[in-house]
Amino acid sequence: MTRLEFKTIRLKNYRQYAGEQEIDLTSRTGRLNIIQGQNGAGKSNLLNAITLCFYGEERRQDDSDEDLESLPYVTRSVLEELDDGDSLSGYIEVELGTDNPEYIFRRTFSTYRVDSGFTNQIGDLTLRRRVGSEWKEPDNPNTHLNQVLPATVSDYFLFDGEDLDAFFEEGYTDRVRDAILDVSHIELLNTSIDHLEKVQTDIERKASNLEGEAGELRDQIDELEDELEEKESELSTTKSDIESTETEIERIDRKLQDISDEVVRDLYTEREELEEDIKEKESKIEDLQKDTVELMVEAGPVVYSSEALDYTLELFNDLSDKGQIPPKIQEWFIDELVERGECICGTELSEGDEHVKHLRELQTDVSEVMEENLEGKSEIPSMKKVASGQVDQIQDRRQQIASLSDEIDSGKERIEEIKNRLKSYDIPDDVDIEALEDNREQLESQVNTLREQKGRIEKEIEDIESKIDSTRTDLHRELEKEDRHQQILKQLDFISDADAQIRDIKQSILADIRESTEENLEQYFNELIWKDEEYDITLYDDYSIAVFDPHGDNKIGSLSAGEKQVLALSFMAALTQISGFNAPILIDTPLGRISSEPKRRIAKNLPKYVEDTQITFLMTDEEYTDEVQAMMQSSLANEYLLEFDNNVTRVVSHA
Amino acid sequence: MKQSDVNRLITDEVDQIEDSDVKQFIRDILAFERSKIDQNQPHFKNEYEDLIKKYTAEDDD
Repeated sequence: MTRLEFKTIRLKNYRQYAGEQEIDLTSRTGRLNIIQGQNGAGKSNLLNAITLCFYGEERRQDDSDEDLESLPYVTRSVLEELDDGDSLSGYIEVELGTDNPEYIFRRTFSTYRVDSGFTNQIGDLTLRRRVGSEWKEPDNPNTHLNQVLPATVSDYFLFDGEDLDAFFEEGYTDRVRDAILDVSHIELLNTSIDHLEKVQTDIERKASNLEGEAGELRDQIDELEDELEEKESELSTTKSDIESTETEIERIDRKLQDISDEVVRDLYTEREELEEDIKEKESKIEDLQKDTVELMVEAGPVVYSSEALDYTLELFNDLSDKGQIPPKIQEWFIDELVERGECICGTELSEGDEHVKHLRELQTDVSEVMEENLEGKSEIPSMKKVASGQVDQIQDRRQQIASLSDEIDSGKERIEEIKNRLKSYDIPDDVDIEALEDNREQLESQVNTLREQKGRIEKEIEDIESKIDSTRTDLHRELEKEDRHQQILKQLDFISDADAQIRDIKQSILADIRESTEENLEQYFNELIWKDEEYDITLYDDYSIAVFDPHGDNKIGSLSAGEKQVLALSFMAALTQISGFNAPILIDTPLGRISSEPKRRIAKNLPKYVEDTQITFLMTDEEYTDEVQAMMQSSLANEYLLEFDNNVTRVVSHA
Repeated sequence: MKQSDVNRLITDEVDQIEDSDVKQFIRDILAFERSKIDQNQPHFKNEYEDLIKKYTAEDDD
């Protein structure tokens, strides 16, 4: 295996992992590692251990509702013995390599006991790197880590399957776009563009330390750039507000899903299905509306001038009946008459005589008349026939739209009913459904407002950027008027060329990346999905995704939770492939929160996930069944069980 | 991926730029940015200005 893999993870006194523990993940015959554990046994904290070691942060919330930051890094049971002000330390060590260990990343941490609880501290990342047969300690471990797996890309290699539940829900195109930007080095191009623009501004300022028009134009650019910066920051805040509101809605949804009362769960499931159904119908209506507009554009002119066309046809027929329109004579017919030397009336014809001259004039006239009138005469009925068919199609689509709209309306009514029932439902659980429902409703309305706001800000940014471009063109025109600015102008032109080239590269790469993401996504989806039929996946320019079934229907709006999980897992796999990083993959709860049956079916296909890469799955008992174990057997490298007892976890080999 | 490496998707595109000065300039700034990738706000203005001067001065030769 030429890709990097986890060799060993060593933990001391980290969270549930009391004392020193070692997990050997070296690939031997297979490439899959399984670490199985019940909820709370420390699966998520293994993922946290790696990110804490590498990036100095824990990314996963564990199963308790407590805020991670308020929890001590050091194992609680060990801390119990401490007095206030005392501290205990631990470490996390992650060993990576291809055939042999090459990197050992390590980070220490300490937890202090204080009046109100605990405070944590972390040490710097350290690295031992094998160079030849020796181990060395480089000064810049973060730079080495960036070569192995930078923080921006790590989310696609080290993640929690439960986070994927909502990946392809509302607003997913932003998530797809951000992920593609993360893995593609586009950031390098963005930084270059940003830095070039700053240098460009500096050079322009040097030139416009001047009086008059140029100075004023530079001032205008400064103002516009300030305005742009403000809008960009507003956009970023709005995006993060949308994200946190959506997370909050998901949290409520999970709480509602977890309610043990069957009636509530059924109502909740029904509402979710209705919401998905409405989304799908709205998307169908959108397609039908587009179709209708296209048909109207084609049929419209004929329909609107129908009376005029009828009248024209009537006139044609009238004139034709009166013999005022020459019959439809083909040009070749006159040619043949002249060639034969005899008219149909018996008159002799020879080139140059009056009869032939007359025939030639008739031939020219007929040709013009045919094109302008006679063809029109025969075209009118066929135009009307085509238009009439199109009108029928428009009516058909309108009927479909009306019936879908009715179905949406009744779906919405039912959702309202469900909301009200949920609100008034009294259950023994310690959950206030009404409050949760009210909160959810408010959050949904907030998200809608925020999305509108986001669209508005994006448009404003576009306008400001266009103003900056045109003002900059004016400034350069002004600078051209003075010889003393020639060198500066040359530099500005050079920057402008380079800037345009980098932007072109960015667009071209994004197109390439979209294409390869689409290919990989389709491949992984078809490998992981449990159905026999093949799906075609399209990733559009706006980062929306279509999943076409064999009948050509786009299923993206109606994918089941299991199918969405497969799509998200496939997307993550596609991203690792285009990232250029050969890091191992570690997934906590790969099958997320989907129900048992699809979970079982997807688990069976997991051994096919991202071949040629070491993958460590942190799985629940429900995911790692005997059946799944049997399916994975031939690819297994190591199996461990997290034995959780008295709030302490021991890692034991599960061979 | 080594520190000096820029994703091949990018370098392949840069190779296709016709103007050799712009091409080399972009290679230089990308290598510079790649080497500073782990710094939050690296200094760049002097490096960029020097490179711009270098490539626009070469035009005069």
